[in-house]
Amino acid sequence: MKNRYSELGWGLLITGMGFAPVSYLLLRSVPLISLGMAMVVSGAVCLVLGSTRPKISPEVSMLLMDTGLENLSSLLEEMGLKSKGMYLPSRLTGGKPRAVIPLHSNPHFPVVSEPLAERLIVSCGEDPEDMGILVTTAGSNVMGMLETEIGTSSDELAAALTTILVGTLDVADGVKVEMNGSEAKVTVSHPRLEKNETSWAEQSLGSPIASIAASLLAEALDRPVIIESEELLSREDLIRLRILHLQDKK
Amino acid sequence: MRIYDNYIIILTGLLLATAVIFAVMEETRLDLCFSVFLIETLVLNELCIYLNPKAKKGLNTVNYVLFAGFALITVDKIVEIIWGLSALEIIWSIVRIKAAGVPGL
Repeated sequence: MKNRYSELGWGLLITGMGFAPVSYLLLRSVPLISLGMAMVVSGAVCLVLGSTRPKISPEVSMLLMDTGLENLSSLLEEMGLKSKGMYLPSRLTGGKPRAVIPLHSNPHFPVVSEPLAERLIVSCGEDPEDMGILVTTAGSNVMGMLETEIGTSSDELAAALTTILVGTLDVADGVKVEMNGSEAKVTVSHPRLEKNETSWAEQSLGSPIASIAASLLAEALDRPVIIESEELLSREDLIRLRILHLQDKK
Repeated sequence: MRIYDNYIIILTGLLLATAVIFAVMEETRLDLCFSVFLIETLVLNELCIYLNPKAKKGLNTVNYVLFAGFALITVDKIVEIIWGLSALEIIWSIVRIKAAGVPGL
């Protein structure tokens, strides 16, 4: 795949490196020399940015994500699992934050107090009937993309989500987080990932953006989180999350 | 990548505007021009806090190279103040003399 940043970088760098000496020796023009210097600086920056782009196209990434979601949807459909996924922090999953889809979430979500076994079908509560499937979500692997530890205030959470969704994944233009007790409202402006309402995986785990937000919140607060609702407005994705207390039997 | 596009557009816009302003002001000091470019690049890198860590590391490398250039200019100015000799001026003069020997220059 062609990398347009690298192409632009090489173009500017080579032109600038030729332009500056020619302006100095032939034209004796300081403004043109400074223009050549500006081209060299811009070219170097473009080259650096180009080298950080992934080698595969976004279409391939989309294909892989759709394949994974379809397989998970088939599994959930076959098992008849309709309960909402519970996003757990890494402390409770032994490794990275993951989501458990309980077989029963009525009348309350199972209380997970100890790390779950690293298997597909896990016991996720004190009751013998508290069983569920433990899955890796889109949000599970984003923690490695953050340089610093995530804070617990709404501003720190918004900054971490902006770094991931805007700076690294480029799937939105901005993120706002409002915390209100055990509820959190995440507003993602101009989301560029479509939600598939008919997918069993998305009905249970939410859209990829909501999944990332829930995983990050669960990891930051060290508490299980569920996606209560997700509303796609014209230019905003409104995600309501509920933070479950570890010993809460709500 | 919108964030990369915005970053490049802002940086090139800033550098071009600086070059134009210096041309209008008939500024002939290249070291001043380079220093302003360096400051603009550093400030913009610090403002773009949401760039991914890999991009930030790469941009830091560019900053180090630019800063090395700035340090060279500073050392040259100090030497010029103390001993009245500018190493960069001498190098440029040699290049100009050599270039003058090339037919057509």
